[in-house]
Amino acid sequence: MTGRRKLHWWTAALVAVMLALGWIMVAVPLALLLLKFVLYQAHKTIGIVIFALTCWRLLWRRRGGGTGLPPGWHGRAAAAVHAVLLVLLLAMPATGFLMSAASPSGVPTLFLGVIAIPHPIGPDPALFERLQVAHRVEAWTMLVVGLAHGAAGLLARRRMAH
Amino acid sequence: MRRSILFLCLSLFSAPGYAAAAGLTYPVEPASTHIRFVVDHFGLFTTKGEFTTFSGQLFLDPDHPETAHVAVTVQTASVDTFWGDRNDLLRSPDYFDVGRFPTMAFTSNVVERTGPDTARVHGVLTLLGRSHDETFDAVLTDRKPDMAGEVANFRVTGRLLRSDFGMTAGQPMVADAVDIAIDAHIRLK
Ligand code: HEM
Repeated sequence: MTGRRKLHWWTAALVAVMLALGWIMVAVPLALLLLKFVLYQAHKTIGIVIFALTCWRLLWRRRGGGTGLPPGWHGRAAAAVHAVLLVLLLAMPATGFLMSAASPSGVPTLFLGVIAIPHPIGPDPALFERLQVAHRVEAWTMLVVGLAHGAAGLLARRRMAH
Repeated sequence: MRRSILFLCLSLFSAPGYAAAAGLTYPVEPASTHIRFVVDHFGLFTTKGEFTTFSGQLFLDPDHPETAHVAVTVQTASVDTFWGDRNDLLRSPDYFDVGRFPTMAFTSNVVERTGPDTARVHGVLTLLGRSHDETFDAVLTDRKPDMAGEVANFRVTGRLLRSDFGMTAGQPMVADAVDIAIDAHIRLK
């Protein structure tokens, strides 16, 4: 597999894990403090990795190479879907990190559970609630657009096989 | 300079100035006192909180702290860690069990003077139906005249173990040791 395709599949797998982890961890009762803490820190850590991978991918892209998309509406739709996914791959970690910082819980963001990433802002319950809504809307958008992107990929492959 | 101001005030208000030398009883109340605590999580971060509803009495002669006596009753449901979900958890049966134990109480037994401005307060804390001996260190951080008389600021600190009262929930994520810091601001009569 080329480096580019590896990056693509790593990103896809990590995002799938993140969506599942996100929805599971928020459902874990607070009384299970240790489990909840570990799941949240794993979520934050993987989210930061996704952010880094996406930055890397954008740098890569700038160094040239076509998109390989077909002409016509198929190609334009695919390009729009890719753009949305790329924006979400940067926006989700950004809102997640700011939400963590604004959370009234005061729990730090610990990369790999130990390395504290300094929060740029302090607890702010009103801001937290707004970012929470944004992160949720982004998560659902990621799921729907990501599935559309996957389905389109499968269809394109079938058509090429014919 | 500070002394001469104090002297001036004492001579201007000689009656209240004299009264400050005698032991008197003062209310322990949220308006003048803050009861805060800090608990550690694996050395990675801490949770800070406070109790906002309590009442009690302090008998104090600022010149003879060894004669002091304090008794305070704290409403456990007033625990506040600045996050509603965490407050609810702390009020639950696993922690303060506020339904069955709405109050905790501290009563001093012996106060030893340990320095010109310091004392050690020995007493009994009753929490979750269990009583345990605890020791707190008191420091007179400030004693000065103000417009209406004389004020004294105290800081009382100590460390207790939750497990001494049977509160073991959340370990090891929530440390057993809880650091207490009480700040009191008293207008001497
Ligand atoms: C591509 C990256 C990410 C994805 C796909 C993702 C996905 C999710 C999902 C699905 C949820 C559950 C939403 C809900 O129903 O409440 C969630 C919650 C959360 N995410 Fe993320 N997330 C990402 C990145 C991050 C990052 C980098 C951080 C922090 C550094 C973060 C912090 C949080 C927090 C704190 C919550 C819980 C909010 C709450 O308590 O309600 N996320 N995330």
